[in-house]
Amino acid sequence: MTAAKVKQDMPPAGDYGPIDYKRNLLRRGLSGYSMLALGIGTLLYRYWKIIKCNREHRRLQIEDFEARIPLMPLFQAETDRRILHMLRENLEEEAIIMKDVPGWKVGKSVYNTTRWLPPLLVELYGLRPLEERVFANIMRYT
Amino acid sequence: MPFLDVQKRFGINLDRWWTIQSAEQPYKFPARCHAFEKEWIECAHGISTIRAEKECKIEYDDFVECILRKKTMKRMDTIWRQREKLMKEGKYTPPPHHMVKGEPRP
Repeated sequence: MTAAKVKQDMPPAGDYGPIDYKRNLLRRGLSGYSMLALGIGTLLYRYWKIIKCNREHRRLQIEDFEARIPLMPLFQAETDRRILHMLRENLEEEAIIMKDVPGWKVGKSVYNTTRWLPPLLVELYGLRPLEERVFANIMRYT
Repeated sequence: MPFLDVQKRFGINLDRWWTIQSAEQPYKFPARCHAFEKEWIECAHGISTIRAEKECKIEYDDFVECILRKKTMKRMDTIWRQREKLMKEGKYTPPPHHMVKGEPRP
């Protein structure tokens, strides 16, 4: 209660400067609507580009097919010749192997019909090593 | 149902495509035993089971053989066994392209 001046912690001479307490978000960048427009515009442009690219891809694919389709009879004829050759070889091998077996008809078909059936892998590669059959099985689907 | 053919009346095909192998397929891909099945069905349709078993035995046997290939495998098996027997006795050597040596022909 004395009137003596006690050393207290007081603000400096002249008050503190102004304190900014208000929001200070910068108004920069695009607005919301324009960002939306930019996004949608990019989407539409890219869709159009994809459509164009797909059409071009389809044209190239048609060109590939046009090269493949006329050659298909040739390949089919080759495969058929090869299959017939292998069946003939197997028939002859079978005749040699089953020479001494009584009552064996070489090349007897197990069916009652004379229709041509595409031979099984086992019939073609039966007398060959196993890898050839496995390989043929894979190559059938490629 | 046989007398109320609902699917034919409405022109829809809900389950006709998987009743038999020879049914109408998309892209017309035939089954492996399509011909045998067709023959058997044509032979056996409309007559009773007892009669069909007697009269259509040939077609049925061919159809079953096409699916199961039992006779084919048995035949191959006999040939294989004979071949192994002869190879063990030394009376038969397979040509080189049947074993791994030699170049693969054809």
